[in-house]
Amino acid sequence: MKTTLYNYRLQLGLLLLLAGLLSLFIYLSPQTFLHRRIYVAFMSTIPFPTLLALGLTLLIVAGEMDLSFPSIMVISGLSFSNVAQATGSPLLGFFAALATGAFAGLCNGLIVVWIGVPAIIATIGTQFFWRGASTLLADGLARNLTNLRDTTFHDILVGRLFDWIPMQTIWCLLVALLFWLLLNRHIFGDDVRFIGDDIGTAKMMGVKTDTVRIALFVIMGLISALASVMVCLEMANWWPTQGEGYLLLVFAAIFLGGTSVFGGQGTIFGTVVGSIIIGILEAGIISAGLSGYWTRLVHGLVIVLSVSLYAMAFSTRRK
Amino acid sequence: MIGKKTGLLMALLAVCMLSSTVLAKDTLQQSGKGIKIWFDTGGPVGETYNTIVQHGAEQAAADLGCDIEFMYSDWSPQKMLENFQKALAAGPDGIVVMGHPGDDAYAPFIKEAVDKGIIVSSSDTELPNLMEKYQASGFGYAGVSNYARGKALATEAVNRFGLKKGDRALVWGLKSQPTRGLSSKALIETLENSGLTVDYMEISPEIDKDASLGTPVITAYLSSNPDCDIVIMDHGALTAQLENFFRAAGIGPDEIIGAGFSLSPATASAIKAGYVDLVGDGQPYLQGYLPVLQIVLTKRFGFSGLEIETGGGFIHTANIDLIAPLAEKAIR
Repeated sequence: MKTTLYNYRLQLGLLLLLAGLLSLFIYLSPQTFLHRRIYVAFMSTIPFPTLLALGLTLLIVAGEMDLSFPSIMVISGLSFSNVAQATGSPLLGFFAALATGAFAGLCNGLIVVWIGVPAIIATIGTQFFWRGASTLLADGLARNLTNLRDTTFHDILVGRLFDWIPMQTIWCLLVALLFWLLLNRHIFGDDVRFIGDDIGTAKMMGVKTDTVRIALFVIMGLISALASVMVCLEMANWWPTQGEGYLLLVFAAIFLGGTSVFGGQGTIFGTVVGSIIIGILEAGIISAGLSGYWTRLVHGLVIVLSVSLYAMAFSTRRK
Repeated sequence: MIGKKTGLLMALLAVCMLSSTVLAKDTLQQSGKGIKIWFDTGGPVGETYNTIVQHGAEQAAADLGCDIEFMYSDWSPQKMLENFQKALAAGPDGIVVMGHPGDDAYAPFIKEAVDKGIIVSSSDTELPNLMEKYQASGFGYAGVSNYARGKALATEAVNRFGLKKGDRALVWGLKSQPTRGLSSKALIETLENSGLTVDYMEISPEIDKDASLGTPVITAYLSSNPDCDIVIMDHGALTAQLENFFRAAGIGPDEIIGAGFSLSPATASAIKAGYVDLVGDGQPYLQGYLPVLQIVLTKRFGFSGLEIETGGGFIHTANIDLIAPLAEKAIR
């Protein structure tokens, strides 16, 4: 029992942090945090950065990085909007978005793996490229998608189950489960960890490192496209700066969730809980009557304290 | 068969028409030909508001025949100053700035530009001290005074919806930004002077970039303050998301008054659906068009700077059908 608790100390610590924050918010603002409405709002928005964080977790565990996902979101969302509007079929638009996201992810993978550009540099470049391309193609104009609100596809992806549970939460949990199985119960997950630990050793063990790394970038592209379509449908709108605000929040959620920046280590559970914590902070601060100026300070405080505790718990200090 | 006289007459007529066309071309040229202008649109590439500004400037450049280069500053005062220095280094005939960094920050750079003979004009946000100093050199301003636009929207909201003492309002804005923040300040002061209780929230940098992240924040506020009567967004992109915010917070159409600035396709749709009731229109297209015209007129004919107020319009259910098609084209 003691060993089990020790093995799961990271997950338990995160859960305690989430429970502590929620208790604090309930104490400070019971009228908000004892009401279903705020949790519905959380369930309608937190899944988007969470999905992105899940895809990025796999990449970071493999020792890679992707800074281009906000731009892959915007170009995939544009594909979705254009095809859905032109054909009248949001389903076709969805496939167009997935194809765009997968292609953008593949480009990242090829630049990083085949050409050998470090991922952080390559994806800074592609981030500018896809953002620029989408703005050029859209001529800087937003797309109004209110006509998609009445479609079955809208209900399936972002409708309200039993008239209150946002469907994006269900999809997000399913993707989290799938990624958990992939990372913990499939050989692909072992390959990802080996690559993140030591790519040379992984190669010697017969892991097809190039294929796995490219696949991870493609998965990230697909996830970005999925998140983008959901945001477009939820907001009934596509706009050229879509996704820009997600970058820091997604990284904060991943590192708060205990994923190691050095690769080889990270959990799906940690990323999901980390995303929830990051997602509820600002609303908690506002409903407690504090001004929005506090938000960044509290974000910073929570992140620095958490990662410092991890560093102490896992002795990651460089000798 | 055409007679000799008729033929001669037709030939004369043709010569006259041809020569008059040639002469007209000689006398009436595009006044901006050969003039190069650098224009800071203020926001990021593709954002709704500054795209309209850019469209106005592009149209002016096309009408006048001048060359134009656009810069993007992500609404960051720091980046606006950096872009100004880049433009200065390129040595154009004129530079259009957004006034967000304020008089003091711009003063040394604009002095350098004017000393080099570059005409500077401001858009969107006023620079009153620099305007006073350099107006004779063509320093103009086209935009809505931030304080005036905030005051106008709050006054219109109070009058139109009969808001009274004891009512509660939320203002979500960017008060911390120099000059730009005056709009939020005016909203708050005007509503408070009318007896309303005003809550103010500052827009975080993430929500400033991606308005979709604002949903839980406004839900939290409305849950904590169910007596809120009016929500005013001092931000174009957030105004465009008001319908989604209200839907997520479980607020139906016309349950709470929604107001804000800048028309976009999403805002037009929200007005029709009853989630947005009043939008202040600063006519950003003119804020792009007029500074380009100002620089050309000063460069070509030596006119001094003009101060033009582009605001004053309101969009609501009564006039949305007329204006919505223009919003789709990013003109209004």
